Amino acid sequence: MKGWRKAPGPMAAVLAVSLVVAGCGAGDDGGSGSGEPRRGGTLSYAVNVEAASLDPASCGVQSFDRCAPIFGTLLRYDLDKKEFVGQMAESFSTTDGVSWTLKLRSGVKFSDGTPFDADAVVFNWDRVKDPATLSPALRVTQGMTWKATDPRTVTVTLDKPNYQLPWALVRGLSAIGSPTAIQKAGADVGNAPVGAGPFVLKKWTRNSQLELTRNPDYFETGLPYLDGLVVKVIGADDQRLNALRSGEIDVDWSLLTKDARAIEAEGGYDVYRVPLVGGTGLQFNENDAVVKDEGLRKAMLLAFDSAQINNAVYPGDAPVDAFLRPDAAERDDAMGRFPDKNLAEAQRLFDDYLARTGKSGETVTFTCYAGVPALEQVAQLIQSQMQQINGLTFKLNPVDGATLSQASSKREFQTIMGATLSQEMDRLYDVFHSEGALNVMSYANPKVDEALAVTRSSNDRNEVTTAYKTVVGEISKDGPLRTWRYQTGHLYVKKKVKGIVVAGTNSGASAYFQYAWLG
Amino acid sequence: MNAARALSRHAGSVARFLLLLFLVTVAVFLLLELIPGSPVDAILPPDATPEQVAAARAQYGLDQPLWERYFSWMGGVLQGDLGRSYQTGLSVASTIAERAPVSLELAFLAILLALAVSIPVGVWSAYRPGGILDRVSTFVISATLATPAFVLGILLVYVFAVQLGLLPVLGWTPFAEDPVRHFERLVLPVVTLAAGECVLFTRILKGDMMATLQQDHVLSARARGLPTWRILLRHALRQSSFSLVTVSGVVIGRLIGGTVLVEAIFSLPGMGTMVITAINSRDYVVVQAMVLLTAVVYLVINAVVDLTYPLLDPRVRKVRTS
Repeated sequence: MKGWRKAPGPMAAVLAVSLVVAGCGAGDDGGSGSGEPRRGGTLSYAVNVEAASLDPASCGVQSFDRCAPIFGTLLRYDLDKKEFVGQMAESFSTTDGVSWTLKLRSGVKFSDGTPFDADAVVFNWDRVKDPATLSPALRVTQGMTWKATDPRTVTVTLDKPNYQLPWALVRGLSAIGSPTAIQKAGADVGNAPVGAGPFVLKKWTRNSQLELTRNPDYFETGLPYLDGLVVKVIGADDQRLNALRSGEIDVDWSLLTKDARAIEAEGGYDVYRVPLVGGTGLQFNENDAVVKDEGLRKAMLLAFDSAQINNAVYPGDAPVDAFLRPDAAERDDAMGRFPDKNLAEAQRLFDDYLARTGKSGETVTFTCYAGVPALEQVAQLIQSQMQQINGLTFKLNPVDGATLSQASSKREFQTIMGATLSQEMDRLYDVFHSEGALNVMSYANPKVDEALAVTRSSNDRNEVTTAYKTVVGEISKDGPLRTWRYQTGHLYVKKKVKGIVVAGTNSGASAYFQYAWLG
Repeated sequence: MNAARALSRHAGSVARFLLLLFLVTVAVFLLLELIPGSPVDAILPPDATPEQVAAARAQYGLDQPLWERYFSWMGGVLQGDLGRSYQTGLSVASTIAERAPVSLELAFLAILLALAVSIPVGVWSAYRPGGILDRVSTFVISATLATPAFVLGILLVYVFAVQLGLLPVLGWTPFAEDPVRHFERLVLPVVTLAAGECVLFTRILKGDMMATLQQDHVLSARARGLPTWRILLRHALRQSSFSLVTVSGVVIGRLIGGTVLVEAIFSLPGMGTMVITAINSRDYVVVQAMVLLTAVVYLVINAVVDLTYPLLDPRVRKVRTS
């Protein structure tokens, strides 16, 4: 961890926030490499989706792996130590969870030579807060005000305590761009990124590759080791693996356990694993006139069989019996698990539902992905499982990804193939709190609300863990989002690449490439 | 008199061309309106605030009535301004200009390769039906027809890039940067794209050639003892090229906008990947521009193909001038 300063005293309280992230695992040598780091060379890394924009107001959320090399991040989450550490910022501290102090490093400059100071942070965050910027991080800034109190200090005030706020400085509010460059670029801001991170943009060929070169003025002396970083866009998992095997790229990622196993078996790679919170599953709209019936939902949960899905579509993946994986610190089975499959009980509950409503049968529509073979197969399996309940017609409504997202965000579904995937436990607040911005299920459970409030208002690690156990137990029992896989981000790194510091992302795994070097 | 007649005939063609173009633009605009949801939903995150939704609608003019948006778009198109992408903020015209050379080169090389293979194979198979070349080509045609382009592409990658290490797996290198690498990277995509067209061309040409070879003027040429190559190339091929020329024209139009799969498999920054990204992200401005461009290309190519017929067959020339 060259050049790192650990967070100062007051931060320690914040860093005590307990997280489900179990750390990353690598191959034999841990992937960090041995020997003296060497300078030079260009590393190629592949991603599956092109970044729409490299505007610092949006890319921290949408394209972390291309945003972080250019802008850096104010804070970084250390997966091994399970704590936040300063990156572009020196520290982010609080004593009460309401008033926060962001301390910047002295002498840091953007690659255009302008100062990376408190005014720059305020300028960037003001842009995020402006609805006209259309920033995906705007929600984070609600109830939050800030001002520059000196060139190195920004004070932040919240309307209520939130000890999880540092996550915002790892993601949505993490990227700070040069105000001069942003103003100069105008509408073209998403295509002309100027940051103070370890790399600078050399050339961007959309849908092909992003070429970055070393920022000679990067504040961490001697870093980055690499002369250049190339981020290639390769949509298909198989093609990325082919590119890795042929030497076209040096680092790849995927969410597929079978790929990780295949790569490990082939040898010559370090495989890092970042356990993620959540996954893809069957989501219920509790506001729907039919699905709002608790007995009907319970009947469908009792017919659900994740083991069958994984055996057929994701061989080798363990069946899912609670919202978090078994080894997660925030899981306590005594608090609740997903209901075990029980067709007799499912039928009894469904018959009871029909008797209560006076119906002779029921039809429930499942909005699911079209054009993604694995997910189409999963949808068909879920349909066959649900239709084991006599009288229940489970109708598939396959749509493209954009239409599915719209149906989800507008709550226009009965059941849907929904997902929540994140590195941080705090995402549970947005997804499962009755007032959560991402609670498309209209799920409301006072116990969950109360426990989630504690996860933000408390700085006591044990108390937060206990609160998360309650949340995980309740959402497992209620099953508003019944997942079938525990998701893990895998990073595949050729042995010649050393010094990898893994980063979890909202969709998988990436790395802080300023520490990487080619052996 | 003849000049006046020709002018009147061309004026009619131009009028038809413009009418078709107008109908295409209206159809595209209306079709995109029928797609559920709004581009704003794709631009903004799921937890967007109402203020963001309002701001986005105003920024992209989506709060204006449909007809007003149509005429505003058409006004821009007539001045060469195809609008700005909702997703990237880039000028659509400049994005297309940047990507078109990739797709055009890919399509052109694929057609060239397909013709280079299918003409000799088609001609010889027609001349010696049941011969070794005919039987081998029939087998290859059947196998290729049964193999979708994405399967063939991945198979070629696995064999020639991963296993043998002879060619790059994917990616794009501009010609100006490294000409050798540029063509190396094009080999697999061009072969993948050309394979299907090669099959089509060979079958069409073989069928037409077999019919032509039975015609009197060919039999007469044989009787006169002309060399085989002369009979095949000069007397039979030229007359058998009608369908091939027509189909090649249609295929060029299709390939320019339809290299989506191959561009996606090989990560090529062409118009295909641009369109698929635009469709997935509801970037209507880009989709509209591409449909318009494709329609124009089709119409122009059809016009060019139409003009080519008289060059191939004097009988057409005579009919048109009479």
